[in-house]
Amino acid sequence: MEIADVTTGDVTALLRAPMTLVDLSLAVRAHTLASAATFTDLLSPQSLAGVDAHTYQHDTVRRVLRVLRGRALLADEVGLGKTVEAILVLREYQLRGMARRTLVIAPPALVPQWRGELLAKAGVQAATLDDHAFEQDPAAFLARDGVVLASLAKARGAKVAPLLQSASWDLVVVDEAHHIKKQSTLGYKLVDGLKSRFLLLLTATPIETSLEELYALVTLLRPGQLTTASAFKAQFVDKSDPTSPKNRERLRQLLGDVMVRNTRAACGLKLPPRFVTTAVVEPLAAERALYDRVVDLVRADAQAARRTLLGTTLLLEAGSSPDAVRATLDRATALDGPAFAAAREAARAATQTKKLEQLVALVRAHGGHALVFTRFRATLAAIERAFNDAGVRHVVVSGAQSADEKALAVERFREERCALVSTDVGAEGTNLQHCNVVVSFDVPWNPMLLEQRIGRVHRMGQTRDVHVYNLAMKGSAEEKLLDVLDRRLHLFELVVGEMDMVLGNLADDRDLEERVLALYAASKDEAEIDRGFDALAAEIGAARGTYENSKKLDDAVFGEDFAA
Amino acid sequence: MTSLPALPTTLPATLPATLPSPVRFCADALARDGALVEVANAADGEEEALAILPSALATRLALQEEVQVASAARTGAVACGLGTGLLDRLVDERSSLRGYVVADAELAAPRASQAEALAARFALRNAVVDVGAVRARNEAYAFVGTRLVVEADDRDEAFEVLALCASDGAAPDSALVAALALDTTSALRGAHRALPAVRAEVLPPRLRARLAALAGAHQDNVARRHRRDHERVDAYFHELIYETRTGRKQRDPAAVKARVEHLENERAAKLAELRARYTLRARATIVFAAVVEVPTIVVDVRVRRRKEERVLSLHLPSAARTLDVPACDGCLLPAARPAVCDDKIHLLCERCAPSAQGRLACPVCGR
Repeated sequence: MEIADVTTGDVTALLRAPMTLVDLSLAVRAHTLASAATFTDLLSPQSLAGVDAHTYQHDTVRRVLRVLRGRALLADEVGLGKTVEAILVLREYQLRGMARRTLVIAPPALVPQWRGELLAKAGVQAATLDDHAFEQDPAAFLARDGVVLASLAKARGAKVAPLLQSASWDLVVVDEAHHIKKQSTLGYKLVDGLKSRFLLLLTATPIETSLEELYALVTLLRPGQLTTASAFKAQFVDKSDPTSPKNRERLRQLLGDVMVRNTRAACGLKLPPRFVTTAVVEPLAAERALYDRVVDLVRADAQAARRTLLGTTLLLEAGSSPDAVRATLDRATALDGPAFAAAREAARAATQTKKLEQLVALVRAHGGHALVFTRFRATLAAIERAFNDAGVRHVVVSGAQSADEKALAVERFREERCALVSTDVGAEGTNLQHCNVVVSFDVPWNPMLLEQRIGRVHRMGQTRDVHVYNLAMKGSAEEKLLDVLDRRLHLFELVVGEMDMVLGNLADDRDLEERVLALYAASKDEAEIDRGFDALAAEIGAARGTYENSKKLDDAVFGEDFAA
Repeated sequence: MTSLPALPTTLPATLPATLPSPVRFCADALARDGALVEVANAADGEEEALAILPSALATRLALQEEVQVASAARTGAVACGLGTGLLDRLVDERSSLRGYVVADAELAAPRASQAEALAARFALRNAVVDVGAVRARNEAYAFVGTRLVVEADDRDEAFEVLALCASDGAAPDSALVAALALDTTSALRGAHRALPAVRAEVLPPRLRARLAALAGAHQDNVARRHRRDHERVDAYFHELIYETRTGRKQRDPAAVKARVEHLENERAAKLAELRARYTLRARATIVFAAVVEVPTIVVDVRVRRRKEERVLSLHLPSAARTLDVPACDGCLLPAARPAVCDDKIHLLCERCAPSAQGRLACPVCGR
């Protein structure tokens, strides 16, 4: 036991600064409140904004804090909110002064998402290893209190890993921990070498192909819990079927000391079904011409190895509305060349889109109460005009509005049962379960964005079937992508969170936006583009198979034995 | 466990068990920073506060200038219950202030006859006590707010107010602290006078004793968990080393040796990590002091032991039901059942003088 010394100097220093009786009263109450609670009463749920945590999540946090003592494998089924549970644990330790220094390790694609969620939900401004301060002085950067976010790819590198391992952490969180399931990998060695009081490993699939993956994760948390690898194999692995354990009851007992796995069935979380419809709209001739000119522009830029961001934006806009393309081209006055001139000319000629007529018809078919998403403000303005012309009552939410304006619009949407037209940013964090119709006027190439749109209404509290409509112009990238994701692979039938798991299994770690643009940029003609989408379909199909196999395996091994 | 003792039960651990109202605290904290605040009961009986904030304060706290504060989140109100951002922020701000207050207690004076009767029952284990003069006066008491933290793989935090008579370090009855209601300061009146001398040297040993008591409550559990994890990790590496030495694969002896060395280093590192995780660390931070003049009855008692004698002043402050427990001259902790030494009549507690038979070894006299 170490008892820090207290000296009379501490008292005499205090006796130099007079304070008032009001200050005294506030100080007494502040200190009493600060040292008040036990883990029986969680502090963290109140500290999160826009999070209505479920009972099973509270129970999970209590179990992690009180029974597992901060070293746990959180292996909830997908879509049950492991990230929220981890943030609750993090905040609970922070609020109690037990986690001054936290490291979160996640796959590269999830680092921005973690940063955003920590800020939006917990008000925690996390630093990342990409920050300039880390490049300048890594030791000073890592010595600071707070939360550091690191991509696994960067953290396991030969330069960064020793720095992280020489620092002292209170809490380490590893998201998608199945990436470190093999003891021979750099990722495993990195986490094994970190010095931390508390360690959370997050994965929905602790076992993907063999029981030894589970052994590795548990050994990170509690070395020796499952004895040595060879003893574990002898005791628990059936040689004839390496995925099916022997001595299940003993294994269940041992895993109970380190693992929580909530299942949808045990939590009673059942959502009503959703029906996803792709509505392909035949474009007007001018619309088609504009789309072709934008594709030419993308190819021309690709040949000159420049402006991929602009290319992506324009191609997405061309799939959305001519207004969106025109707005961008009008702003890009400095750009010239024949491809630009042709695109500008086509944009001037294309004044309408058939998708607007289809949208009005869809919204009317559902009694006027629908949630309409678009990615672009110019498209949003075009939709507003079309609704006004057709007499469709609506409100608008966009990132340009203040929080109060958005709240008012959402309130009107609920009370007047009209249509709500929103940009992706505009509707972030809002629960709109009173509505059961979602229309994506334009389709993002990243299906996770589509999932987020659907998730605004297809979530706990929804009692009716949910109808989802994705509008796509015939022959556009969106139509081809929806053909792959919806018609061929039925990805939208997956439950919330599963699509993320499937896309996380893709061998190519570029995101889909990049890959779709690359298809257009590198192809010479339509046939080549179609072959590219075929290859993508095959790859995603294989990833879905891998995920479903591992899900089956996890369900078989764990069942509902590890609920909090 | 160190040799530090737990404090005698007579030492007041002083604050009320009930938690202050978060709404009332936030309202008062905002008012202190210049807001106009009105606290009222909402329809459901919960307290709520309406505050008009100066713009600088609103900006600093990221609030609207007109804000409704409620204990739980609801539309149109900012939540300020435990764990909320607003409460967290205000608690941080107010608890980071350090300082002292000089005040007078607005309490009725104690009765002289009660003090005299209590003094008549004041007993020493090895000396005779005669009650002498009784007088009323204001006596300065120090109330020292302290945050105590004990931490290992778990954490316990406590806030306590240690009370002592400023002149001699005696510990008053906990009823005095309760009557003074430091959380509302309703029984205090601010005073503009110089800070009286405080016998501050009694504080460090008393805080160490409190920390040891607090840590002691956790020590067995932490030690058990440490032992359990230590045994598991140790056995795991033993087994790994055994497998390396006896494995079926015939390996180069040098490779086996290198592998064993590596495993031994890893075991040492993992066990060191466990030691760090399970080391109980205790610390106390003094956060404020209130020095308050309290109406007191002072009773002089003459203490006689063999040929020596000494006059002790015993105090009965307002609201107290018992006399202050005098400080041990040896360890400075309160001496509940004191004895005295033969030469200088030093007052000694049971720990410093466990047996009062015969000649005492006095730690103050050094013989």
